[in-house]
Amino acid sequence: MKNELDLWEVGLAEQMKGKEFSFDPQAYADFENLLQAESFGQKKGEQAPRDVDRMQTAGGTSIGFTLPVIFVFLGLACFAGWWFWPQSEASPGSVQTITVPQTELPASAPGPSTFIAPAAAPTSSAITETNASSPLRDAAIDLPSTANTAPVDEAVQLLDTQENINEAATPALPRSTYQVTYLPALRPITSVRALEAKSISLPEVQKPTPPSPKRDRKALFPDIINKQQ
Amino acid sequence: MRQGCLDGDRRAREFFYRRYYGKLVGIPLRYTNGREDANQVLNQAFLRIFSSLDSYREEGSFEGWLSTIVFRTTMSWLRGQKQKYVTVPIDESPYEPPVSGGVDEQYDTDEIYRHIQRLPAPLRSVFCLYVVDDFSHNEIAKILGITVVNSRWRLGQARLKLRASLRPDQQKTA
Repeated sequence: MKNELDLWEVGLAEQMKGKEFSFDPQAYADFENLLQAESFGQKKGEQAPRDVDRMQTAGGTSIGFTLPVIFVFLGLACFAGWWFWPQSEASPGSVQTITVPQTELPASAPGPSTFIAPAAAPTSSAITETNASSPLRDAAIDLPSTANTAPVDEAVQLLDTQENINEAATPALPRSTYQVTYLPALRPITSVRALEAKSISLPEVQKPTPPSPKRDRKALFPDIINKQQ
Repeated sequence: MRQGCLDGDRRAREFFYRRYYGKLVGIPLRYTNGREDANQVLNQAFLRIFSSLDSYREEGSFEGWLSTIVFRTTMSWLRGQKQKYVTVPIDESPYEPPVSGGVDEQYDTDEIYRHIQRLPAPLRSVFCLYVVDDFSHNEIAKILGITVVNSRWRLGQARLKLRASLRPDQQKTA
């Protein structure tokens, strides 16, 4: 004994250590049950991973959701998609024809309906003919004047003067056609008004006068003080 | 017998259990609240023993090896019961060691066990670890996860209460 004990404690410890208890059959029965439960739990634990991916159906049969089964399902789904998808789609060789109703077009354009691409940027020849005018202006005027009949180059030739522009802007065309009114030419900035520097003079602020150091109490509260007096 | 237990022989297992039950059950019995708890802890210990019988090397006494497993299992149980401790009423009277003698002869060991089990669990564990199993306060503090001061205080309280219950007449006169 390394601990310091009283005499009665020494006797008590010896008595307790030397005691041998009688066998308890119930304890052994409990132990057997525990052992069985433990072994059953181990077996169950071993089987558990196999049961994880096993689905029990209502009829009692089980379907193993293993990896091959999942692959088979995926393959079936892909095959079904391949089988049914092309039937609903048009064959790649077919050409779709769209007929445009020409109820309104003849009023403005008796000829075949042709699309004239808007002049995004004038050609080099157009720039020379328009006497170095702004390309933006050419592009904007190009659409109304030659929308239905003239090719692009001809349209540019017609638009080189201001008179032609005004003529093209006249409301002679029917309503269905494009109508772009006269767009004024961009004028260069001739004069720039410089901002004049202005000086603002703020009014002088009067400094607040400090309160008088001494206050006449009688003046502030004459009634009260007079009454007290 | 050991080989039979390793082979899973039921009769060998029962013989083994019967042979060592009486010697080993005292360990959990002094730390638990009664025989049922003690049996439960001992059965857990026996499970460990049977599963690790093959790891025993003939280096120390076999009973010592068994006792170590049972003691460790009991300590595990005790740590699990830590949250269930009840509050201990503090006895303010100072501990005075008896002048002479041990426990009265009228008390047999079963009676002593019964008195010890009446102690509050925190006091009982420290008392048994210190007095019966001869652990120091530092070791007790590590085992139970308490401070050394707390271990000392618990031992003092346990001594007071146990002495009062085992020798009430002498306590009154003292």
